[in-house]
Amino acid sequence: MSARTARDRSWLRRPLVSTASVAGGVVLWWIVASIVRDPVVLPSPIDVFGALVKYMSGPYPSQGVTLWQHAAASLTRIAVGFGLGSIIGIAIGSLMAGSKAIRHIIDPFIELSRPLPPLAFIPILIVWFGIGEVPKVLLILIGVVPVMIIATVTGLDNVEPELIHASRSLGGSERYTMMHVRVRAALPSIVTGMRLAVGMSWTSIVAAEMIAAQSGLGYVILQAGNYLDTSLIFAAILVIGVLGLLMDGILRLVLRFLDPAGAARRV
Amino acid sequence: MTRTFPAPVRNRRRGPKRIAVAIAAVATAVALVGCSATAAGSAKPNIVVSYWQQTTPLPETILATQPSLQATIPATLSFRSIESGPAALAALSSGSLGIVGGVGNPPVVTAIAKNTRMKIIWAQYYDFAGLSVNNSVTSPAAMAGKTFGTQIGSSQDFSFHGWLKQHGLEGKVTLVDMQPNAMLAAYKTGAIAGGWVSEPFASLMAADNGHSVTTSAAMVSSGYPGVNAIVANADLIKQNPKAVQAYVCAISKAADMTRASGSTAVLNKAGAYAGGKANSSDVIGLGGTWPYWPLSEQLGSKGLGSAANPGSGLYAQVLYKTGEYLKAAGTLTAPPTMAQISAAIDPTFAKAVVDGKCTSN
Repeated sequence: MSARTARDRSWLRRPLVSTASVAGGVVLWWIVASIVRDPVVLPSPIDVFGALVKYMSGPYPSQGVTLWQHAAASLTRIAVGFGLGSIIGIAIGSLMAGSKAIRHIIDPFIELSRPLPPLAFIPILIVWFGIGEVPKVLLILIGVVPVMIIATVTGLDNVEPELIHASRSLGGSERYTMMHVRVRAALPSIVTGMRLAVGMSWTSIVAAEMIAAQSGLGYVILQAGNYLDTSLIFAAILVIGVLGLLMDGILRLVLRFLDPAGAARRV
Repeated sequence: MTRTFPAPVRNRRRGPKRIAVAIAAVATAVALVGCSATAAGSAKPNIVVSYWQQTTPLPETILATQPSLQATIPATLSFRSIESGPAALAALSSGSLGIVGGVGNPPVVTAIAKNTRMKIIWAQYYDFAGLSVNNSVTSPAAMAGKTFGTQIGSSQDFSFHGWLKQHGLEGKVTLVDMQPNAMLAAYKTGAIAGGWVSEPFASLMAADNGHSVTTSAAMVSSGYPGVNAIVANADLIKQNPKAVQAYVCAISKAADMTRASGSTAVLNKAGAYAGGKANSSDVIGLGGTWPYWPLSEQLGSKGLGSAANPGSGLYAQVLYKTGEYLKAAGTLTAPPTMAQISAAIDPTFAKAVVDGKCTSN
């Protein structure tokens, strides 16, 4: 069998196996829900699908907006928080990788802030920034920045010294070497950090939308939880899962574009 | 070159060793079953009770800090803090809480609608809450176009919507969902113009360039009261009716202790348990003036109705009205019928207290 044929079959096998796995999971879920017979404890896939269809076309709550609009609201907050957080994290990480002094100054704050849960920041953010979109975006940014700093520093630290020496010996300045050699070589690690940060952003969205939100998937989950509407909770979680998957897929494509040689190795 | 492998050698020592391990495992299992059976036969039932994570000394925290009161209950009590009625009733449904106190009408109505296995056994207190606004709001009409805080899904939210409807302000104000401490922070920074919130937050907001517009007590006569009850897991009641009865008696006694002589010490201790400052006049003041349901109104038309007809009582009627409100709000598609509400109320425990049948064990 040629290498290309083997790769083609691998390409086909992976989505088939994944689809079969998801389908199997849904069947198992349906079987367990049929045994439990309590939609508050475990709604069936049909209940969840029903809630999805109902609220995709109708508002929740009655004075609210559709699930599409709730999804758009959350996606906007995440895009802004994640985008800004990534830029800030990559910038700080690059500075830390380039200067030991800066690294020693900033590192303790990263290690102190990383384990803190987003919920802990809510009262402070309300006092400092009010109840609009700013504190919600900041809550997401607070979770993204440390992840991106660590991914950037790790990626830059692990660049092979030979590449750096080659660049410098061929006349590249420190800045040129950093931008065109180190950062380029660190991109896979940075994009992997972004994939982790996207997951962190979705995790933070429920906490972010506790700050006086009137729309968003986290808001829907909180409100549905108040009324034990487990079907709607599952439906909102499903939408978050699909959106998270899409964002991860986009980042994988970005990684493939930026590092095609590495993409070939990763297949 | 083909490889050959030596024939496997049986370890003659494994046989007796395996038998010994099997015997030890069976003996351990038998011993454990025997021990648990013995324990079940002799130990008091363990009941997990909730208390509100706030500084106000309510009956549950009084009970938690008065061993003499706990001794009247033929059960071992453990206390867990809660911050939300819906979450507490979900925990009750799963069995991780046995008795939940101070639960407002919306979460109770939702739980009934979702067929939660529970019974309402005591009408505990009215909401001690109110609408506080900043001084730029000089009349109800001036609230139009402004933003106010509310705790969506709570009894305060139900009262707030009722008040807005009565004053023609439905849809004319922006309501944002906030926990009480976040509401206070938002009010102090001017992010909201006020909110309907429980004490002590309502007073704290009114004291900060604001004033009180109305209170939950006023909503009793206008038809949108916030009512809070004690709810018990139905299986717990079935298995330990005497313990549940003794609990209701003890809670009634705990409420009486907040008005009796020596109440300051009782309230201090309970307030500290709930996270309040020691010797705080605010904590003591709140606990001593909490609007407990009067014993004389526990049953009948002003309370839980009668054993034969719980639906005749104020509590059931408020729950029914709450269900209708939640349906209109689009958050509860199938509110409970009056028959379902009546079936969820068990006034017999309250009747025993009213009839003076509480005894000390």
